[in-house]
Amino acid sequence: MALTPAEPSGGHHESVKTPEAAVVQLDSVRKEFGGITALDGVSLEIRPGEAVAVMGPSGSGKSTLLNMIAGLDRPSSGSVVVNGENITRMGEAALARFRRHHIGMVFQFFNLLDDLPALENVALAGRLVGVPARKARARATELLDELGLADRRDAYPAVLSGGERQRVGVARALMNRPALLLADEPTGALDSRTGEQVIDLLLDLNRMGQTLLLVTHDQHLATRCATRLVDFMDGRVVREAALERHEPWIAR
Amino acid sequence: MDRPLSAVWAAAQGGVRRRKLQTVGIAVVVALSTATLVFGLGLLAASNSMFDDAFEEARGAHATVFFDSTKTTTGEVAATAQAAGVTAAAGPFQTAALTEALVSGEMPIRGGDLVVAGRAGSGGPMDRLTVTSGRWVRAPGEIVLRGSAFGPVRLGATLTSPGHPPLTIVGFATSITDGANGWVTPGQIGALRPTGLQMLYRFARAADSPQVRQSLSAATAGLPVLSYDSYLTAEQEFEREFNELIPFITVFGVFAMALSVFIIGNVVSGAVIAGFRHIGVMKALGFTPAQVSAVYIVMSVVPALLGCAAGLAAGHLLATGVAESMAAGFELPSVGGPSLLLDAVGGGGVIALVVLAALVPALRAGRLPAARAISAGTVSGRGRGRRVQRWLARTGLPAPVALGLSLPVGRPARTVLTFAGLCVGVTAVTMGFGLYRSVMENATADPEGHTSVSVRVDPAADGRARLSEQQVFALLRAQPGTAHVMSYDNQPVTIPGLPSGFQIETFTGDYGPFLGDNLVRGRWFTRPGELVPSEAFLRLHHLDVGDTVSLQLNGDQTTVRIVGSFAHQDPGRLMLDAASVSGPPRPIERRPISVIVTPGTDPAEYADRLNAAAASDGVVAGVTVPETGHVADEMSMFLLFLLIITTTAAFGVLNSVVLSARERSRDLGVLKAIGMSPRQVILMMVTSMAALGVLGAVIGVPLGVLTHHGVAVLAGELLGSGTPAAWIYVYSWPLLAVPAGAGLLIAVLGAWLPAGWAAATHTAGVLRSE
Repeated sequence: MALTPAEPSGGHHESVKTPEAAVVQLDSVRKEFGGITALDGVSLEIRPGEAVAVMGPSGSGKSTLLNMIAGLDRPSSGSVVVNGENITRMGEAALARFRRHHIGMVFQFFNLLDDLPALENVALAGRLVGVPARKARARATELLDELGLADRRDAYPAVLSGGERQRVGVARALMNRPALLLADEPTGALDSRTGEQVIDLLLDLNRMGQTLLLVTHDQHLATRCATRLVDFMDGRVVREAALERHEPWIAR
Repeated sequence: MDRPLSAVWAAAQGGVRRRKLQTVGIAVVVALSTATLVFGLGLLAASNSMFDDAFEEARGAHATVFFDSTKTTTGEVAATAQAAGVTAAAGPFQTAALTEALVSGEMPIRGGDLVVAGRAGSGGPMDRLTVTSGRWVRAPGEIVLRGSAFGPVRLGATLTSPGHPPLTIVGFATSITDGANGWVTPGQIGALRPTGLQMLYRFARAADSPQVRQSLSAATAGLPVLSYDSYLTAEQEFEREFNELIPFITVFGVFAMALSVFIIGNVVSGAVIAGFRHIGVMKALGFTPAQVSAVYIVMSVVPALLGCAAGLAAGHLLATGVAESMAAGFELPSVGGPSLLLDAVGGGGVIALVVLAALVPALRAGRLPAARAISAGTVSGRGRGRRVQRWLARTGLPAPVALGLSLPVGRPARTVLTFAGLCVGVTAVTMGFGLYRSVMENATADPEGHTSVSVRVDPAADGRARLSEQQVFALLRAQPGTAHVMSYDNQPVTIPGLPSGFQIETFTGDYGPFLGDNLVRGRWFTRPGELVPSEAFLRLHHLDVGDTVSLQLNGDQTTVRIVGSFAHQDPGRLMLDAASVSGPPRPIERRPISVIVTPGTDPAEYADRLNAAAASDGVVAGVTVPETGHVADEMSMFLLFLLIITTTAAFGVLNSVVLSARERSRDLGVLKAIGMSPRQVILMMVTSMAALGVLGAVIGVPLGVLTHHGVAVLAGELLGSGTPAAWIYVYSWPLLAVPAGAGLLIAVLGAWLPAGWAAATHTAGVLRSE
């Protein structure tokens, strides 16, 4: 199936195999922005197939945490290991390659390229990895079909509904079969009905084994999707709790 | 200041501070434009006024008259200063003619006699000399030469002339008046056996040649005048030389201004587009449409004023420097740079241009509804060229390349302006390369330009000739490495029915290979009886190839047929085979001999060998170095223009990429988030401009070739010299390769820096701000 995620694996870079083969392993991560501490010694582990929801008030450090794991930002101290690769001291180019191969990102405001139709938006992620144009479009078509957008492949983002845009965003995030799907407020810009559709989609992905990290204010999203809840406050993890979903978590 | 104005000022200040790069962009483009305009205008103004200004500054003489001192007295000549119509006079100065003057025993100082005047100082009421190096003469045994140091002719060198005491060169000076080639102290001139008296006059009526002649006749009536020089001759020569530059300066100036219009329009409208959200906020706060428009005009005009001030200073200094250099080239004293009034006009024009360029987008900003302005600030231009973008996305090109190629279609107006700038840049570079070739062809077109080694034959100690011309030719042809030998002579000639002032230039020997590629019509002479005059001669006298002309020389009349014409603005030059005219030629000792060596022969070694082998025969050989001093001056000016134009074009590219990256910062953040590496971002942004650069070359190179063609022909027409085909069709495929690559180079260089900035954008920050 097109939505099937990749097997967790070590990358081409400095590999750190943990005993549990965690997809994400943060060790005492601190991040400071000009004297303000955004993350204050955060240690966190996410295992393959888990769906972790990070919650907390604005400014608590959730998005900073997500940026650290995505390699969009570097910690002031501590280490970040994702899918076996220590990305803490990677250069920009290496981080870009790391993101292409291991990370899929879903944004609150979709962040699709306005000048490209849905199909090319999705295929672009594959093209950056070096997949030939024809093959990339074939996989993008497959993904969009599976996400119920078969008849919207040639539509530009401006004419898609919010839910459709977010599904295109999810398809783009899955294009390269990432080990980890990061979603930053994925329902934040959607009405409740469309939000439910996206929640169902994420839930289905996780059921198929996709490791998820959700950053959200939405308690409903967290409780429906996540298997574990991590609460943030002032840059620290103040609570971790396993959650029970209607369906049992399917371990890989 | 009332409240609405202070609100406009405060908002504009905020905008200027917030958009530092765009503010700097406007300032830099305006500085470059102003500098170019003031530079170009300054040079054109200098061409009109430089001679007149220098003439007035130096109190130049309308006429310099030489009297025969054996037939008149100093008192009689001095009395002419009081004649009717004379407004000022200087002299009389005793003059001597130094024949065969040599510097350091080797360098002939002039082809003919060196006229030296005895003069106490360089100042005075008339013909104020400017000592450009060294000092004025203080004691006997010293001489100040007119002109500047060249090779062995330098300060401290010794000047000798047979029968005269040696003189040490202590200075070089410029003179606006054609009078003497050198000056010694009044005490020294007596030792040089003076034969003439020189008197300088300024007349009440001297606007044209007849007036000068009439004033002179009235002032010198009854006195033995040997010859005179009119200031009009020097002025005409100067104007002819400067006319040659006018088309080049004008075209470069037009290019620079067109480029400035494109880029200022691009920068200012880009600032407005980038500030749409700001416009929405201002309107939401209660700014009226007029106030919003005013904010954007002020935001553009404030940095423009700063840039304009910098450009005025730079342009003024450049124009002053180049004008001084050109003045020195014409041996004119420096008269300072262009006028401040001209600077003000140039600067005012550029600011007016900025206001006009800002007006359209500023009015658009003023009319924009607040809600639309706020929403427009969040997205890039939509719906433009999507078919192209989609097609590119589906090609097999690497993603950064395909995305880069699609960027220009998103902002067609900006793309057109940037593209136009690149076209102008490539056109200017193409034309510049062509001009370089044309100027070099021009500089080496005369026989001297084809000569490898110059030879002279010194007479024996008793003054008698050692060798005949045939013997000299035989000696030279016997030398290994000799390919061609000829001798040259010139002498005045008259043509019945035409005014005087013609010089025939006669050639003896194997002269064919020495004649240049500067034919405008017909062919070169190949035998006696054929004449090739200057093109200016044919035009002035309405003659053509095939016509015949009678030449009167030494009392004999010879009829010759015109077989061609060569490019020159002097209507008095006539070239022909020496055997065409009757009478004995001047002794070979008084005529230069030229040699072209065989391919592979080093001229310096050839000259050394010849000097060693034939010194006993009085043969002295030296390598010919073409006079390219004025070429260097012209090329420096072309290069300066090219540098400004290409820098401005590159800056236009930089500005375009900055605007594009700013508008697409969210897209760039997304692309980086999904795995685009910094190198790929740079590739994408550079590709967006490189494509325009390549297209710019496709348009700019042919345009540059055509412009060069037009300018070269126009210059020939303005001079009246005509333009030979060899100076027009100068381009070869290898020569075109450089300007063809210039578009790409300008685009890549201009895009590289902002592409790097785009690649270094903090992705998390960009996405967070969205």
